[in-house]
Amino acid sequence: MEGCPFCIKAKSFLMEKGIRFSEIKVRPGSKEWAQMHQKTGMRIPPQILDGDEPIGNYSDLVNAYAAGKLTEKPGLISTLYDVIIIGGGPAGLSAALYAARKVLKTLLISQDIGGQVTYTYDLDNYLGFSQIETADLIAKFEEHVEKYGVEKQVGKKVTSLDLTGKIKKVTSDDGKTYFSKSLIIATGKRPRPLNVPGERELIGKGVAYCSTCDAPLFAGADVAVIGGGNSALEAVLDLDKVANKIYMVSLTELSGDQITMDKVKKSSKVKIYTQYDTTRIIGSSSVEGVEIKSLDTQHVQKLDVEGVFIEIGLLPNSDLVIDILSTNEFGEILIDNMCQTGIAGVFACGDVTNVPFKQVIIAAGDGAKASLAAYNYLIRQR
Amino acid sequence: MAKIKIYTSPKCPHCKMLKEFLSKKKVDYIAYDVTTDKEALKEMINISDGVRSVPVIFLCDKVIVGFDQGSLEQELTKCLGPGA
Ligand SMILES: Cc1cc2nc3c(=O)[nH]c(=O)nc-3n(C[C@H](O)[C@H](O)[C@H](O)COP(=O)(O)OP(=O)(O)OC[C@H]3O[C@@H](n4cnc5c(N)ncnc54)[C@H](O)[C@@H]3O)c2cc1C
Repeated sequence: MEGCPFCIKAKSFLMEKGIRFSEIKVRPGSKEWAQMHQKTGMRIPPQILDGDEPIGNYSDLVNAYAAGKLTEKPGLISTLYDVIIIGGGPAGLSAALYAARKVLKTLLISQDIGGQVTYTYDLDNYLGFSQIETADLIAKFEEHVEKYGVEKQVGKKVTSLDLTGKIKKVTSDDGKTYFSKSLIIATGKRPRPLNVPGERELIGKGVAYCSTCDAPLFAGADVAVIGGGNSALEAVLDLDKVANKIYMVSLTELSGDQITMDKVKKSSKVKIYTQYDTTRIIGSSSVEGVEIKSLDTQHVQKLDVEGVFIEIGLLPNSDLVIDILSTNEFGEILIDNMCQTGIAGVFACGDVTNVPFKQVIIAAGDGAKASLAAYNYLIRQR
Repeated sequence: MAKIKIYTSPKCPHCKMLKEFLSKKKVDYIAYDVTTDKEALKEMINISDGVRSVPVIFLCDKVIVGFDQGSLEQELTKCLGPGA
């Protein structure tokens, strides 16, 4: 029943002991309420049944368990974690390290290790390393976390969350459900797609989101870069080294660091279209062109290109919680200075949150903070 | 001979992570740098039906685009047997 502290206690107890159970919600006057009365003779929830046999209320359950009378055996549901961390970028890895050092029973679930930063070749602003390849920095992060033996599920996507009870449930795309007393969401960001016809179908076949990785594969080719900010400008410069001709297509005027902008404008290979919308990517088995439309004259034209690099910003991976947690106008999860989300025991950190300035060192710092806050929360629950 | 070929570019973090992953698993592979090896680039585009993105992995007649640790682990087991 809603608003019934002993119902919550009974559920937590069963969960903690790993005893499988199903829950029947009752309301005074409901059909289920009548059934509860009929089966147990009692009118005060919770009432616990072992098979058909009534056990009684919460304290009867604890006594029955202590006396070994329950037929449902402990350990049937999977482990109960202290904390589950979703995301294996800098924020999630740092959270995992701090959780492990507090000896919390920790699980890290992530689609990959490294996150967004693996879309750039090297970093020169992470304290302690004047320049480091991102693959090396991530390997160091991972090694550090591994030293504490954190349990990991890599290559798994979390597809749903149940945050209603005290025990949080996390379900991944292989159908497995994990249970935890607290949760840290560190799902970061992903490249924003254009959402135009042809884009999805031709990903990898000329449509690219990682210019450091794929630019060199377009040696001698004509290509387009979509976007008008810093990352688009950087992509143009990556391509400038190898490509034949580069069209830069932006809805707005270019904006970004002056030095980068000047370099782009100076290149004889680059033709800039500002105030242009991208409406379609053309090609059957690989990219053959891109269709653009002038916002001013509505004139549509086709650019013959073999590659389209899409650099129009990032979207937060907050779809899982968008209707459960508070988010801002960008879809970023709102947190306070303890990384709390508004639901007790649910924390968030890194680029998926409203924390200003998206950087590796900031995400890592916030990951640490989220774990320490989760630790404080768990201590208070004991 | 190595059963696994990977097509890479030098400034691609996912390529480096892929190599480290395979080495950690003690799996033999041949790596091609498609930015300098034009034949390898042609071969990569050919076997992958037009893919122009790295890394591309060729193992046991299967082509995988990108480094996704979870699915690669499964494919490795299928290709090389358990323990890989
Ligand atoms: C091109 C580029 C260049 C950059 N350059 C710099 C730089 O020079 N210096 C710097 O400090 N910062 C840089 N950044 C920013 C930096 O990468 C981010 O601030 C940082 O990666 C944020 O870390 P995070 O852990 O919050 O998120 P992310 O790195 O985005 O990690 C999120 C993780 O969550 C996982 N995930 C998401 N959804 C799910 C799900 N449903 N289930 C399971 N797992 C999920 C992802 O697989 C990923 O592992 C750059 C970013 C980009 C894109």
